[in-house]
Amino acid sequence: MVVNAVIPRTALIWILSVMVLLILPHLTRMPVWLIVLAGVCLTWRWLIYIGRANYPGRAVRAVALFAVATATIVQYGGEGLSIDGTVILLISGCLLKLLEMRYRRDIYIVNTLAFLLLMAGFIYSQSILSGAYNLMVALLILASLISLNRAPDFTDGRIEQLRNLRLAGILMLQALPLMLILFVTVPRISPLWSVTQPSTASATGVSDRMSPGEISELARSTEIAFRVKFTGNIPSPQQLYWRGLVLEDFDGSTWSRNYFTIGPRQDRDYQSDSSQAALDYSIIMEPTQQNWLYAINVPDVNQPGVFLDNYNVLNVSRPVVQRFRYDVRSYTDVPSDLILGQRARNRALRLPEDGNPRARELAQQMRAQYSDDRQLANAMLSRFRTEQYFYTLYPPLMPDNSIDDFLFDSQQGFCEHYAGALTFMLRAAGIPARVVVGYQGAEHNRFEDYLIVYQYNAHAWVEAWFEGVGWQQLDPTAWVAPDRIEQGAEMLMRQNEQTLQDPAFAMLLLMDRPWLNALRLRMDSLEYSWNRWVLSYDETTQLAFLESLVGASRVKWLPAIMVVMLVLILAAVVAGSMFKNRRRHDPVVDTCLQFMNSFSGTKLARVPREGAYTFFQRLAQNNPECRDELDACARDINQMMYRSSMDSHNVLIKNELRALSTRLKRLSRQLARANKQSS
Amino acid sequence: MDTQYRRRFLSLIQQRFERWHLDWLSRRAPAQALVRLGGRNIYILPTGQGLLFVITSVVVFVAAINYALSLAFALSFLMTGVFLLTLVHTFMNLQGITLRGHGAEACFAGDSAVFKIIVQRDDKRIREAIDVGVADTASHTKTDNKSSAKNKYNGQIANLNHSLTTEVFLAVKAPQRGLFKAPRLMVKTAYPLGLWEAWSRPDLDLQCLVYPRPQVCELPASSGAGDSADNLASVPGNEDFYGLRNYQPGDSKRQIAWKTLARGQGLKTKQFVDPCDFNVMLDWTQFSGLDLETRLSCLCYQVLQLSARDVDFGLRLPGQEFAPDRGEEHRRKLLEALALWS
Amino acid sequence: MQTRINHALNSINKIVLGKEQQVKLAMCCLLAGGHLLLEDLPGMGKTTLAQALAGVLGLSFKRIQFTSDLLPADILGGSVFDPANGNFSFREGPVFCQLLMADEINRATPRTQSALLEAMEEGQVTLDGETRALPEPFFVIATQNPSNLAGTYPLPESQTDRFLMCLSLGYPDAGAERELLKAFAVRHHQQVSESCLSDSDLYEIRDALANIHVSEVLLDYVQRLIAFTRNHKHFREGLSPRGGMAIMRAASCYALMQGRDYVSSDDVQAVFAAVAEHRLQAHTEGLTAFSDTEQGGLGSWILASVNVLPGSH
Repeated sequence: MVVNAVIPRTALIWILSVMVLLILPHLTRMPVWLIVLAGVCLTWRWLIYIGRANYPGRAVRAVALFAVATATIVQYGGEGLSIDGTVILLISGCLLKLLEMRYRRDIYIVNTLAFLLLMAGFIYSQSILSGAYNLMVALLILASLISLNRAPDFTDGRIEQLRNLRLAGILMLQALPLMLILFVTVPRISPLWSVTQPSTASATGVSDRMSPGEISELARSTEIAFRVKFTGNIPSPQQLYWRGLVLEDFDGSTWSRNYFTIGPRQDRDYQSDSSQAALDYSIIMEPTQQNWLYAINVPDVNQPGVFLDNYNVLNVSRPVVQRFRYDVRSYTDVPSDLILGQRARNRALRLPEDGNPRARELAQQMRAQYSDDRQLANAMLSRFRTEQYFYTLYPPLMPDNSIDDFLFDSQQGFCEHYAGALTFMLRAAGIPARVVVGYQGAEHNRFEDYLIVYQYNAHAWVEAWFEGVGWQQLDPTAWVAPDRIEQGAEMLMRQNEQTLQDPAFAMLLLMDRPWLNALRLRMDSLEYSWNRWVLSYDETTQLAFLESLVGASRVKWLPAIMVVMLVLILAAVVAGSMFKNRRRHDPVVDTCLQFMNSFSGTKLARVPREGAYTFFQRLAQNNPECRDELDACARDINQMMYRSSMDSHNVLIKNELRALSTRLKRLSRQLARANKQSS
Repeated sequence: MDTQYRRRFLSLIQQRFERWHLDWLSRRAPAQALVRLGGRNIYILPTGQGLLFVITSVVVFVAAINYALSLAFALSFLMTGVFLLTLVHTFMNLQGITLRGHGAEACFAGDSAVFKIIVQRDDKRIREAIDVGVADTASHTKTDNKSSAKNKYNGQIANLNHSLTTEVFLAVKAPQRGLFKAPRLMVKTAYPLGLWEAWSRPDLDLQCLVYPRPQVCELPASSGAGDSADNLASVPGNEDFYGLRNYQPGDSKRQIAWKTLARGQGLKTKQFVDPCDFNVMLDWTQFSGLDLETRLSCLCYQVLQLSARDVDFGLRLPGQEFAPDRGEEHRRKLLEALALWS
Repeated sequence: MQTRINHALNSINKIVLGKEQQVKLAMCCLLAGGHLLLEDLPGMGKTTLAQALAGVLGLSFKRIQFTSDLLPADILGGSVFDPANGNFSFREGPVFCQLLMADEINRATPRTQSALLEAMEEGQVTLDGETRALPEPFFVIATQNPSNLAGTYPLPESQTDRFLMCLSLGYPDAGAERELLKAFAVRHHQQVSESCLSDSDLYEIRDALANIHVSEVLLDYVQRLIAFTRNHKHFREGLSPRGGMAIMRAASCYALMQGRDYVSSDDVQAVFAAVAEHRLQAHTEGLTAFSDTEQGGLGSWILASVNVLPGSH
């Protein structure tokens, strides 16, 4: 192909549409000047295409290039070239190339830019939708390349274009199995160097600080926090306490995480291979931009980059910026920290110097009443039930001495109020205690049998340390509003008028219609499978999957298997196109051949020069008893094969064909019987 | 200067390679009138665009590793898959094609010989955008070494989508008289995506007779007068009055038309002609002193002129003689003799 | 129509004994509007067949015996000086008839042969700058001795191509031969007494040929046959497109004679050897082996090698 020939118009229209489709998904991320530039470039190009304008001169191009480069550097250049800046640069490159794209050699560049932009699209979204969209764009890129490489043919243009698309589709369909093999088998490697992440994401979910009202804020969100698949049975809702963070420091209003004491845990509370009761499950977490993971106590994870800290909380070395999958084993019956070090004990008892005097006083009173720590804790919990406490998503504001206000005045609060107040009182009574934040409960998706944990499942509870027992989980919410724990957070919200008016919960109302709910769950299960099988297919999952596929001992043969399969597929494509060569399906011929070939190997086998008619006549000679039927058949077949213009869609022919095939079947039975008699 | 040397060096290497390659091909694929393209004579390599495509796919792969993007992995693998598949598709676009060459009609040295190539498929697979051509090595010779770096390529696109056969006409410059053997064909295609180029260099044994380049000269004394356009077969003589022409120095004084001069119409010479004897013999010896090729060129011119006038004439070459005759067949025979004489 | 054709065939078969298939093919060739070449040794009944055909078809019949000194004018005719009124008048040669029998065509010089063949191709004769149309319909039945006999000028391949079919009669079988021998005295004079088909019948048949169904399956088969001749190493050149069309024409006509309105593979097989063999003969290399070893020669060999129905067997 001559590289400096002009691009044919038929190809150009494909390339232009590909460009538009490539830029479209990035529209929301594009700065205003780029959108303007895109408008100008596309309009100009369109004018060139219809012959109303000319290509821009060298000066115009130079100025445009300079302006775009400057604008990009000014806007994105600050922190080195971020991924956003790169994408903007790619887009503007595409747009400028659009204006000077004239010769075949320009397509080289355009092509490369197009595929890089496709890839950039995946950085921002890897949903099914975006996958399908990009696949379609890739199809159009192929179609544009095909139309570029075809010699112009001056027949009906539209049909030609459709043929380009059809060929591109065939190519794509053939490439998909190759892609699948490579996708499954090519070893996944951990990142070669660290990369900047797109800036659009901000931290979501539970944060490392808890002040009153924060979790109730979170609990109004219907976004998904993570999805869980259990290997065995799904445990009861009361067991589903997804521990996130342990908050130990209290400044009078806010509980926060103590960053000085975080470090990988040295001693374990369990033996990894112990036969103790354990839950096995895998979690796919939505990006949180945070460093910690959620799990049921006491978790054990064997995955690079994930470690257990002193608080039995799972931490990752790098923030979760993408969907993250991890497999956990939780030992539910293992006591945690039977021996509490002095410093840890002090931390778990520390309270501000002053503030909330009434709560401290109450704690002292109760301490006097109960000498046993556990009895004291129980008394404190049952106080939430016996007194008039309300569990509400919309508690009143409590500016100072929030715990006093909550405990004695408003007596309305959400889980963070109860957890904070209980921890405060336990500490005031001399029992080591801490606040735990995370999620509680989940929704079961019956289609794929997994659990969905939403942001509104966010929860806070308490852990208190008792001699000989270790850290013990105490949930005041379970005492105030047992429904919250047993039936889930959404039940609670349904009962609340105020919640239902919140637009974010419109979904809850929709769920009243069973089919809609089923549809929603179905969609989510689709997304879950996508996440589970496609997006979170990393080193670990790959190894596990391949081992389950071919057996652990044979994994090392995989590269060879992969190559063989690739070659096989390519050979199949070759064979397919060779086969297409000789095969044309005529139903009558096929039916006939089937019958005639059933004689192959016998002395009656068909010879090449025999048509159906001659063959049947020969049969008739050999089997005089079936002569009439054979003759009739021969006539009819000849008629059908050569007389009727063959059109398998024709209903008449279809009926005749069916009749013929039953007739032939009967004939072969008859012949078989006759042969048996004669022998 | 430096770049010029380098370019010359590169072109030298390229020429060496081309020569070696052609030698190799002539051993491996000797000339045949009909060539069927298949695994034995199709070669395939990625194009520049193909390599760029692979590099792009590697870039996408690295990005996929670094950003841990499963779908980018998929994209990269899809590109790899497409790249591998187009190898097959491009190859299959040439595979099974039959090429048949037809010798060109004779031409004159320096003109282009036009060869007809029939491209044919016997199966139902559509073939498209097949570039059939020759590297026109003859258009540059040793004499013009300025432009010799680049082989002029001329080719035509053959499409076999609706029809089973198609014809391609290739014009190749024939520099010298004699039996001209067309260079090897170059049949190539980059269809469908332009990522691979499959090519084949069949030698269809294309030959063409090249007549000497006609060179204008006097017609032999015993033949028709110079450039008179009429069909009368006559030679300059002194029997019949033929006409007047402007006086040229050296004309015989006896032939000056004094009457016209007297009438004030300028100095004219009277021309007389003899009726032609119809048996002109074109002779090799009439151009003594000229070199061999020029002689043949002149003879060629004379043959053409005389046969256009439809007179009987013969030709005498050293060792060969053709009796006077006329007609298309005679003309062809003489020109052939001139072309092949050595 | 079919009954009339059958009647005609029967009349011929009474004269040419034991050659039903050849007679049928010869009839098929003429009904399809093609010229016929009979190739056989002398005395095999070529002339008898040609005469019988002419009689049955009710066509004006002329016969030329080709000899080595025959000139084109002897066939086409020429201007003759008429002393009575003192000018030249055109005297029609024997070619001006509806059915011309050219006996032993390969005995004449190529120049004379080509004069006839031009007339066959164009259906007209140009003499002295004047074009004269030949009568309609115009058929030529040429007979030819096998070319290896002495004193023959074999027809060039471009001219054998103009004959739709080439048939050879061969020796009669024992029964027929006995009949012949028995009635040697009477048979000598036997002629077809009445014509069975008229001109209008011939035109009707030509119209009917256009309405014969040709299915895709059949076209596939014919294409396979043609492709075989083009691809097989024994042939330098395969069947030309004209050869392919000839097969279709003959096969359609054969189907019509069988009383069918569609062409089946059997029709193609019946006519194939007659239509294709003489077109391919010149292109074969080392195929003498076939005509000797395989029974039935080149055409049968091709038919036996090509699948009627697609797919392996």
